[in-house]
Amino acid sequence: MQPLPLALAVLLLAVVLELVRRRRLREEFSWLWVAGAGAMLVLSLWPSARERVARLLDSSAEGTGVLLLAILFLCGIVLHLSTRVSTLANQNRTLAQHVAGLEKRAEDLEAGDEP
Amino acid sequence: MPLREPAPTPATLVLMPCLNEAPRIASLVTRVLALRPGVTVLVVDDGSTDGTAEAARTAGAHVLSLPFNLGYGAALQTGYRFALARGYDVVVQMDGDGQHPPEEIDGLLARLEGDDCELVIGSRFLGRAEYRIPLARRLGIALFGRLTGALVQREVTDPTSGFQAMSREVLEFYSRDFYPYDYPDADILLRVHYAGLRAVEVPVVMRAGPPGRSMHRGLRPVYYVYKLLLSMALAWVGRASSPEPR
Repeated sequence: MQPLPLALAVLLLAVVLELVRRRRLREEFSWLWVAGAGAMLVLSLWPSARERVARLLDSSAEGTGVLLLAILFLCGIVLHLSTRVSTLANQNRTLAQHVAGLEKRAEDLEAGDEP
Repeated sequence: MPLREPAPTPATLVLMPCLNEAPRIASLVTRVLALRPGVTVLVVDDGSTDGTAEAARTAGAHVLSLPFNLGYGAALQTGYRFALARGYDVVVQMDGDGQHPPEEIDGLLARLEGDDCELVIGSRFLGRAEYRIPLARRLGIALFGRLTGALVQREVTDPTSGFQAMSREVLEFYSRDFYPYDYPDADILLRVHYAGLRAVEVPVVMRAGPPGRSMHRGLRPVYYVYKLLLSMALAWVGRASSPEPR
């Protein structure tokens, strides 16, 4: 067991859950962080898990294996958020275009011009 | 102000996307309406902060005001969607900075009346550019022109020209979600071609825009090249399943 990583994993889990509770993080974005904290927890509690990760990632040292796993995990989160931002940007564009159209329609109606 | 003046047939909309063009837009709108009294001028104000919308409205244009800046492509598409919803048959798009002279609109529309094309693009390289185009930009235009020309198997001299006239088929095509926010250039010409729509170029004169107002400042050219190459590659890869005009 590694006390510092264990404490960090517990802290991360607590922070994520608290953010969800306060509605500052939506459930749909929290699961990746919960999964990440869970993985950290498992790796800090069981040395054999770290060894397996190192072997799986073809790394000679346990620490490097865990680091690689963490980097992959963060890349996954960034990619997930990028797709979400892209979707939101598309929705934002459509919404703004609708707002402009509706505003114009309202202006025309107020001026007595039937669109 | 009636929404559709006693219209010529087909009903024509002149579309101008604008960002902070208050000093120029009124005279441009006035000139377009004087030259072609039958058309409707629509200014899409892309989040200006200098009173562009009011200046355009006063000059006789209809105005769509976006709540914030969306980008050149998205502003154009706002106009396309408006034109479709209001039943216009033909749209002429031109920049609101005075680079595209209204006197050239007739030439674009006359070419569109032929039955061999749905999109007419004004080319400053077939016509004349009354300003010095920076070397890097000229090279970029030539590169993308050659590349697009090779893929569509016809000569493309001005793939970045925003001075265009289009039929309703193109309008419907441009209104779909794939249309880019920022730079609708050579990649869109490719998509038009793969969708079975026919584009031709006609010579036009283009004038200098206001100084220091280029969309291609700072690191943007680097992103522009990346974005265009990626978008063209994706259009080429997906050419077999390219959406057809409705």
